[in-house]
Amino acid sequence: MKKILQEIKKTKSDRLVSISYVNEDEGVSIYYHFADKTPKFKEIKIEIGNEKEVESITPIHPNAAILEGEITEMYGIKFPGNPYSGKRIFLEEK
Amino acid sequence: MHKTCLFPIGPQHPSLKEPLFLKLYVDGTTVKDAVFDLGYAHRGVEEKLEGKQVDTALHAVQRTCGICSQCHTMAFLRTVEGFAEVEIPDRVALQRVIVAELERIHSHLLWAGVMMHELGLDTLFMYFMREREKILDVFDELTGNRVHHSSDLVGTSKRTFSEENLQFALSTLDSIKENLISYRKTVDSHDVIRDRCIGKGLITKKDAKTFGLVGPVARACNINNDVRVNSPYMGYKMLKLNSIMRTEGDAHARTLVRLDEVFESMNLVEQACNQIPKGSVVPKYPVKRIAQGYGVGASEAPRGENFHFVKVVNGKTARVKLRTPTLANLIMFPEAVKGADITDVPVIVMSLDPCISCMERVAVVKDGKSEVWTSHELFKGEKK
Repeated sequence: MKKILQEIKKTKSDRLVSISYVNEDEGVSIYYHFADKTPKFKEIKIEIGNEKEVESITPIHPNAAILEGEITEMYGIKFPGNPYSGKRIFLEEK
Repeated sequence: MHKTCLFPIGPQHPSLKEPLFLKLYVDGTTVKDAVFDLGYAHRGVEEKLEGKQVDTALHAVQRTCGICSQCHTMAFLRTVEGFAEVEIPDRVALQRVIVAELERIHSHLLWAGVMMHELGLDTLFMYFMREREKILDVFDELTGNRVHHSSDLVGTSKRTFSEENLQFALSTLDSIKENLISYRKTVDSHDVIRDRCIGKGLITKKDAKTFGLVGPVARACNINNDVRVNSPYMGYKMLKLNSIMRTEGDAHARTLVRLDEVFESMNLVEQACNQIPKGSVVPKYPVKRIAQGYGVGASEAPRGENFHFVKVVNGKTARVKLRTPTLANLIMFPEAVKGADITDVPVIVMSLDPCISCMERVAVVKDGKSEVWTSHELFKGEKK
């Protein structure tokens, strides 16, 4: 499992805007975007390669639950610790 | 001992305007827990956006939502024009803002009408819809389209708004202003509306901050996540904007925030019409050569912050991620209805202004792998 909480802790006071799954030439990356009151978004990029499990950031940003759940449903990446893990949000289970 | 039972609402139900399945666990008539089931309006927009040229992708982006079409366009163009370093003239920047603010007016009036319908006040529903119809006429006059305005291209707009067009927009806004002031007074003072909205669907400021809520829902809790203020873009850099804020955090506060935003948007349209450089025209050709790059951008849609992540490789979109405002606010839906009476649930859900079709836009996935499906395959439900 890819450990990321240490890095995400730096953004504790910011608002989580989005989590994006991106399939790149060098492997899969997950982009986390955060906002404070400044015009630019803060970006944290995590390269996960072939990993299928990534640490959930819900202990720091509870609103990550649905954004991570969406990635699990669409791309099969699991986020252990996410309260939505195993639940369906958008698509049929089959 | 009390037992809870499951009370289903939707996906097709007279009190819902979009397909959403609410599973309410009720004890008597009190909601103890709520689960939201989605996926009934899923179209796979993000997957369809992959491998397209930027100008082609723009057409699909505009059609993500029928209500905030222009705000999706603006977020996408802000991102692409940002990383491709495309400068846009003042006229284009202000024309885009005029359409976006008219869109906010029409969205809020549509919402207000439906909210009044949920409260059983169908005359007010008719009144709000009548005024909204006039805004659609303005869209027709300015862009040629009533719903999907499709008025912009990379670096330019499709047409130059003439002086007559702008005068028509301003005179239409003038003609509906008086009526809207009177409706707003009614909404604020009507006993039925006050009884059914004040204190209902309460969201605290702390929750709104913790869960990163956006748009009028956050502003009704005294949190200003307005992109137009925090990160002004396009024509908003030239305009003076007052954020509408309230502190109560209930369904009534959300109603009043949206109605007051209608007047603020009218003010912005007026400022933008007056500031458009007279005699100027929009650039004749759009910027075609966008070969490489990635970026993020946001626009303030009627429901809140609309976030786009765009990556272009070899002239084609490799990934477009859209985070719509309803997805950001979705996490609070179950919390807002917990403890409410079952008759108040449609009012509370409506006060959060969900845009379901806009939110369900991701990829088509089969056996854990994402695939591109044609519209015919999607319709038939199986891949050839």
